[in-house]
Amino acid sequence: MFRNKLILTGLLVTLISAQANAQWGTLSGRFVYDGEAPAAQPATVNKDVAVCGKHKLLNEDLVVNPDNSGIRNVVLYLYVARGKKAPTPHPDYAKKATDEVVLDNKNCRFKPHVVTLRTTQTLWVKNSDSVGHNTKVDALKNIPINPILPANGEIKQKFPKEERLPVLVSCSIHPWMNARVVIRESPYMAVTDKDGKFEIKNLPVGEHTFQVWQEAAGYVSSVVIDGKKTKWSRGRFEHMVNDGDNPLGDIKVEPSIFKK
Amino acid sequence: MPRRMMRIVNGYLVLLIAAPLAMVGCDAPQAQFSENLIFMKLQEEQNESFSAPQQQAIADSLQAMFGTPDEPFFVPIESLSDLLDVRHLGQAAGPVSSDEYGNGQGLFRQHCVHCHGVTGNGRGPTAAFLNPYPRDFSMGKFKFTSTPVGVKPTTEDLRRILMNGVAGTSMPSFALLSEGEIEALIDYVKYLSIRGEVERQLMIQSNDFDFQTEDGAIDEEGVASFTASDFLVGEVLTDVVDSWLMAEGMATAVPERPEKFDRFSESFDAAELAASVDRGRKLYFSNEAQCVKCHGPSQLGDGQTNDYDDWTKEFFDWKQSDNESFAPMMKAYLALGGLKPRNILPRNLRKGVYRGGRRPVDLYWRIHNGIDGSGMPESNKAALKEDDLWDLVNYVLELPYEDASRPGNELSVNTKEVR
Repeated sequence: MFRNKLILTGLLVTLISAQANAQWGTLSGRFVYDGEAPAAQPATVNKDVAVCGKHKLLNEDLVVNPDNSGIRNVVLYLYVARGKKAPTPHPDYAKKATDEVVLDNKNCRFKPHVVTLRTTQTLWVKNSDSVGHNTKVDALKNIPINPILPANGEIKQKFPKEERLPVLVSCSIHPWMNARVVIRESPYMAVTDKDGKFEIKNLPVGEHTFQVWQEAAGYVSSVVIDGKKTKWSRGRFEHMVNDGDNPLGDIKVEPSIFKK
Repeated sequence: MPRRMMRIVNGYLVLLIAAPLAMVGCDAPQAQFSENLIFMKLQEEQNESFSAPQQQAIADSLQAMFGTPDEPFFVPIESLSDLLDVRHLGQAAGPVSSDEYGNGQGLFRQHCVHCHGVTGNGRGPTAAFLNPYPRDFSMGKFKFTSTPVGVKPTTEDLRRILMNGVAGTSMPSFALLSEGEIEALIDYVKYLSIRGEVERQLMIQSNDFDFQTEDGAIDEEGVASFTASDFLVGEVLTDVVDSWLMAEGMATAVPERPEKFDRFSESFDAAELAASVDRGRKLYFSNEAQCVKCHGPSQLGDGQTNDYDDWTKEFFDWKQSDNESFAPMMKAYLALGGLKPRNILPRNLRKGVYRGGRRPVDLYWRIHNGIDGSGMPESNKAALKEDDLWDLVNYVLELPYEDASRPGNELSVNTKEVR
């Protein structure tokens, strides 16, 4: 129903908009934990305790906001089927196409915990801590790296190939530290904020497939939208993006899919 | 023995069984490649369970591209002659025998299979009793290479491991084999590794295809697009093969070690070496190199690391060990053939045993490139230059002969804040 309605209205909009110039829509929504928010768990900080021990570090596999049940760090990106080409992005995206995207080692954690990186951008790994780190990026399609980062050290690295799944980043010295880099060709991707909110701006109007992934769940496959249980096979859903705002509202995620 | 022929017809790989089950030589069970069930389970954790037609399509594709342990095969791609000699595969594979001239056949099963397994997954019958465990080739990762982390070994790297063995492990030297036999085994290791990596890729990428229609019937169209040679060979196999071909040119060039450090050279200078060792010691404890973090203030490999290697971490996440689903999950992986996880220990540098080789150049590679699949990172190129690396190499080479009680080691960066 939900989808059919969307497709119908979508079709109409496409028909109407066919004559007009290219139109762009913004997709937004919020991922919500459909149950009592699990309490944050402290990380086991047992190395460089003198420095790292004072930061009250938490496990970040699954971060649920106790105030509004928003799930942080859910990754959502435009899925391009095999053999299909990603749509040409809105001209606004060109400005950031070759940016350096920072992944910092700060207070003995990676900041941010999930970082999005386009294949044309550069990952700028920094160490703002007073202890040394190493940053192991387990890329699969790209050549992985594992450099030592002295205090105040840095390294810049490009990952020119798209990765199918968010890539694991870890530090061998401090085993609680991990992060993910989402490496995609298309700039249409987002990571939810502390309230579970995401926004992908300026998608070309039309039907698109999106894929949703979360660290503790893998593909987000079971959700409730408008009170209806919905299965997203391999974390994918199709959506008709119309000109202007396309709010998806609250998307409730079944707690059982978080295996960790 | 079933003979499998492969043809490319209309862009699809077609299997023809020419002589169905003719004469099997003896009563020995026919060797078979085993499915990577651990990796499949990992995929299933991320996605959904593999359907029967999906699993079948993967198995058929692998057999079409690689044949069987008795009759190995390699798709005649354009770059094949740069990669390996297909005749070597026949010599290394199959049951152990020799021809009328006494040339050995079935070399892999004679020399390697008890540890590395028929499939090359490091899980042969003796594997569980060894420490460290034998290498699983299927991840396409090798530890002691001249190439940077993430890059395949060169042919020379594999040859060196076969000829020298791996000191401090159960991997012996095969230097008594003939040159031709070594060549055959090198190519067979590449073949097994490529096959293993392709299997993983097929498992991952099969999630993009439909193998079943909504009513549960086989989706012939989906299966056909998966088994199309455009995909199997053109994309998956080519990708893996390219990574091997690329590696040949990527050995890290090591500048000549200054002769003044070489005890057996006419230009040897004992004072210069001692000064270099001193600088190396400082670096060992420094913020720039950070060796002390893992190898420890006494260089015994007793620093603060208690990591696991990449082969283990693939299915074992100790951070989840407090979770109630952890124990049953571990049980499931062990039941699928996973080997009991063990910590990977930083090397004890006072023993003078160097797994990747004891030549100065080997140690230079280890420090410069790191060790793939282990926690050993690559050196920071901005902080450590060529001379610094030689100082570290010289220091490491001196360590086994230094008194452990030698005073004056700097305070470890573990115990103080680096400013």
